[in-house]
Amino acid sequence: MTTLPNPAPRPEGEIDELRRLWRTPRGLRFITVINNNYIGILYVGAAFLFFVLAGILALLMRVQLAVPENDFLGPDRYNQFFTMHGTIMMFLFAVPAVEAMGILLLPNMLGARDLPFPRLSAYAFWAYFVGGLVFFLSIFKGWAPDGGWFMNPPLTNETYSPGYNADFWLLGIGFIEISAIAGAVEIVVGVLRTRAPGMTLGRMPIFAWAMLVFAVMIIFAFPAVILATALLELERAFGWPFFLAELGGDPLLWQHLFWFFGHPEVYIIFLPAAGMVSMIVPTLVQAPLVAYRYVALALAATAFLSFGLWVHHMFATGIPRLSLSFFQAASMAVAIPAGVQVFAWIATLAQGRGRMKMTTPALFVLGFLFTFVLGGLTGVMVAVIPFDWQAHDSYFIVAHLHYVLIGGMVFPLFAGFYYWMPYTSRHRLSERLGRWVFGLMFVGFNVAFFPMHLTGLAGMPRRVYTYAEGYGWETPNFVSTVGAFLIAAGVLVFIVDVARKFRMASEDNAGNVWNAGTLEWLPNGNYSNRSIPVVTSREPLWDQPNLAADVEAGHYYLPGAPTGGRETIVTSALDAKPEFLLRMPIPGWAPLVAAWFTAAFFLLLTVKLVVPAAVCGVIAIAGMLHWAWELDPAPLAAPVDIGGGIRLPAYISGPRSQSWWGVVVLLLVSAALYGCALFSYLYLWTVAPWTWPRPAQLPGLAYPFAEALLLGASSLAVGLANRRLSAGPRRIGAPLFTGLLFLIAALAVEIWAQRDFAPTASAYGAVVWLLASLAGFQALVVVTLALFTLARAARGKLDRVRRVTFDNARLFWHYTVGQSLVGVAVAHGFPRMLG
Amino acid sequence: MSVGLQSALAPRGPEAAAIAEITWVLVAGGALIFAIVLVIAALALLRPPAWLASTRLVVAGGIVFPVVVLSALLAYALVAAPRQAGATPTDIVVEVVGHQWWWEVNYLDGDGAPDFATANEIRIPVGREVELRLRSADVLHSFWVPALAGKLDLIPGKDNRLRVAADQAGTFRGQCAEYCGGPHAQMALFVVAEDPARFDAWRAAQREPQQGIDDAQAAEGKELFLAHCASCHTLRGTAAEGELGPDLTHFASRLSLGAGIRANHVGTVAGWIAGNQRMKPGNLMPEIRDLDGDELRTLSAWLGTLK
Amino acid sequence: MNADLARLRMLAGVAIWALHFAAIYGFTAVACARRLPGPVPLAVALATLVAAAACALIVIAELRKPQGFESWMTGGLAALALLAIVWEAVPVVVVTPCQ
Repeated sequence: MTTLPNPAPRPEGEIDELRRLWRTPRGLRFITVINNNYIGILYVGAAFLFFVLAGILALLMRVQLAVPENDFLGPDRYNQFFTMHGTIMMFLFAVPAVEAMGILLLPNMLGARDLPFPRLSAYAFWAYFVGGLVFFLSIFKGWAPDGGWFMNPPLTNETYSPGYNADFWLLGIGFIEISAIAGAVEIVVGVLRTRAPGMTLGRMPIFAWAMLVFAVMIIFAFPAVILATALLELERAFGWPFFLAELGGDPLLWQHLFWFFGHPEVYIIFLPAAGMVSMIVPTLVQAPLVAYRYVALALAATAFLSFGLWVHHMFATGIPRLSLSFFQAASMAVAIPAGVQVFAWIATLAQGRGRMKMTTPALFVLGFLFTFVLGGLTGVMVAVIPFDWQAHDSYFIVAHLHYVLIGGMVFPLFAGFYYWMPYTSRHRLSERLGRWVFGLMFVGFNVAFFPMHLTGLAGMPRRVYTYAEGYGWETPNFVSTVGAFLIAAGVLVFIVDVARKFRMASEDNAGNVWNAGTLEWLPNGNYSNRSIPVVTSREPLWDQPNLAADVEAGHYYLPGAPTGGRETIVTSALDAKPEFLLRMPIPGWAPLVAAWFTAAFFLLLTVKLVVPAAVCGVIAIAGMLHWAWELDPAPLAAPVDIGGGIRLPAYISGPRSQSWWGVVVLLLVSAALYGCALFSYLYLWTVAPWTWPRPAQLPGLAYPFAEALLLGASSLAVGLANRRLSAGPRRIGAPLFTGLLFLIAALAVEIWAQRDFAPTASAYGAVVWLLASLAGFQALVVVTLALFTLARAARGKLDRVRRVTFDNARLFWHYTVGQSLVGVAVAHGFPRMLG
Repeated sequence: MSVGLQSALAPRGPEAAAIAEITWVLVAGGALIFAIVLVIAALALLRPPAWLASTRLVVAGGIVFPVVVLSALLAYALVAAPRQAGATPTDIVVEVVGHQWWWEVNYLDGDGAPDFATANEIRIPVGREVELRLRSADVLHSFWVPALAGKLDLIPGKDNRLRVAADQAGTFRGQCAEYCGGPHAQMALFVVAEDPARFDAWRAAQREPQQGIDDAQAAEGKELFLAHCASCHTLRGTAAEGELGPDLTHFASRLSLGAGIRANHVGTVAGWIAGNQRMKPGNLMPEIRDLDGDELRTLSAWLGTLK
Repeated sequence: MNADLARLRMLAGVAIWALHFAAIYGFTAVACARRLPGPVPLAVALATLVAAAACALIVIAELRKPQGFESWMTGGLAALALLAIVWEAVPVVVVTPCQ
């Protein structure tokens, strides 16, 4: 970069304008904050709170298990505790914690002012935090779930778990997953579209790679567990027998769906942590990551392979050997990308030539390497089918999973806490206390969990609230309890350190104390960077001399706020070429109200308070609509000059807009969910073909053909509306209403067609009605979007240019028609195909 | 009670032995690889040669080495694996039904019809393969007797079959390994392997209906049993035909009480009848509180005679 | 977006892996459910041949191109997919289907 985009000195007051526009709301209104710096910190803090809470439950369990035949906790309490421990650690700590680190770090790391949908981040945070807290409180009422974090039916069905406990899990976790998906949408679009000019995919920081992979994995994995929880709740509340063997259901269907989510989940947690390590190690040795391309490749490859591992949690269920063997091989293949990363870190460490300083992040990184390699090796062991028959559901697995999760995720996270603290706080954390934190946690961890390998092979099963004396389990269990308290002591020292040193800061942060090379270490404020740099290398701060000063002086792109509001540059997905200027929303109450009442809706539904739940649901939707109403601002006619002779449009619609991308990501979620439903249909058929009707028993062919016609007509009507929109907004009413009518009519025909198959009578009935219900849900969304679009048209907020709302509705609409057509083909075609 | 073996590292049957061998191979190989990685990492930190700080290390250590090792492991895992089902036919077939929180054990005759029933204890002859047909009456359970074999789940609607055999006489403890709620921790059982002659004698005795001792105290015990226990328990040869709890025919011949959690003698039996919720909280047997001390002693003593 | 979509071919290798995995697992599951283990080994072998050949072609094509980042990702992912495909199919030589 020889010439700067804005070489001239900047006008006075420009930086004050940026500060004013990005100012954090004061007083009580602070909670309406949406800026990623603050939401990120709140998010990390909340996740850490849940880590501590679930950790306390673990300590209580370790007290119970310190000696055999102990009666400190009875089985009821213990079962709730271990269920809550696993559930909270996975859903309320691990996933949100790494997601939070992404929200906190990504915009600055990518050179964006904020994430593309800041209100969505706020929504995701508040729904998670409020919902999670209430979920945790259920433990004081004895209502906490007690079916294990995996919630296997039939134990969790209405017969064997009649109380609220299971519902708390199903509904509570169900919507926390929705919050995770909201964050994932944000991160996918953020990483792909808001990178600084010049930051091609090949120059993207590895953490951004990891977060992109993380978000994509959430999009495909979480729908499986959302569908599973929906099926189980349908079985509990309405008796649809998806998992009841007598009526053609199968408990193993749950396990397939759950682990199709559950195994990727492990990598969803681990990959961002590995991404952090790949950021920290180069800084420690002041040299670029060795084999960057291999690491990026490893991340992408892991994402895929991890979807081929789920049955290795089911080796002991009696599935035929050959089928298990496919998964055994896939489980070994996934070890290769892990090995690539480990050796890339080691090779990078070697760049330090033995002069690396043993700072706290360095200690945690080394602790991570030690622990994760050991956990990875035991992971390969349990991938060996016969070994797993002994190890499965024993303490060996408890040891293994904590080695990969604490070793693979918690240690890197703590390395990240120490490493990035100067980025977000006025002071860095204490190196002296940091040593204690690491020492206690690392020693404590190995003391607690290493003996468990032995306890497990010595025959002790997991999830037992007590154990018998005389089988060699007493000593290792006691040692494990001691280790657990050492870990807790380490965490306590960390809390002390944070309380003493952490003072939230953006402009006056401690700064680049590590001399790191990536963009988040530029001088920054709530607006992120004063001007948006052009990136020509992977470590711009090392390779582009004077970068920080030039960015700070406003010599790069977008040094001010030309549209007079919050804005960021949107770039192309692969090459990061500037495409348009995105005007961003400001803080407001609507996302908060939507989030709180979403949480309230699900929690009230749990305790069967249907009417208050419905009221909260309506308020939540009203909040969302109010929020959406303020989006899609009026277009600015003139393009905006961001410097360097580049003039960007300040309004865009269609396939290049961030909003289109967001909707496409959401549709991928829907498609993944529907894919899981189709899997359930086929799976149940293989289990209980006797519940499938013969062709003669099916509704006549007239039904599916009528539905197909109606659906096609509905799509055509939207297409017509699309063409008419270019003529004027007032003429889209007729085609949209007609289209809605066709869509609803198609649904009505399907419901009428299937009237002879009761959903409670057999698994077949249940799964056919499931497909219809999903079509119904989708249609409901389309109706809402269509009416919303028409309302905007009526208020003059929609025209041939300003049409994002319409485009979004249209995308959703066509997808819905497509999905419904697939549903009709399966429901009416598949049984006929069998003949 | 501490009876028998429950360790995968102390195999007493061919499947467990094969797995134990695999275990040691995996442990040794894993330890070796772990040591190599640690040495390389230490070298990288302290005095790295130039080749360590390069992509070559990543290709060699992260791709070539694991591909070779894992290919070998994959082949080994396929060849060394035991339990290729459908091996030799066996004439000893036992149906094991998991209940919350005990094991129903039904010996089947040659035609697969029930022969006799017992609970929480399986006897097998040394050196003979026995087929276990695993079923569940309620939720998921998993059958795991580590000294004999790996585990296999009991799943409603599924017909899972496991072959076990013991190389030597002994008592092997097992435990439910799939979380099944409540006192899942206290759902144990024993597999007793004994020499074929003793096994045959035991089987012949079990087939007989229950014989009691004919004295006045026995009559009183039996009467108490029929009054308080018969609605849930079966005692073949008497009017007791309840099916909610374990079949108690030849109860006194069993090692344990409460699904493997207490030794079976008069004292523990009395304690169990009157206070089982303290011994195994949450189990589905109500405590029988309306017996006075004498009655309780009589009933337990009588149960102790049901050899 | 269309130009961007076209570049999703970076993921071609792993997509083939996913299809192959779904195909062999799905075919085996359905064949076993219908108690027809006979055609399983042949079907797995065929699917593996096709999938492995497709991945190999991608790797070869990318090796011939100049080494850009995208080309690297495309080829690398296809190479790993090839390995996974072969590993996953190997057991069919040793293990009897549906037992």
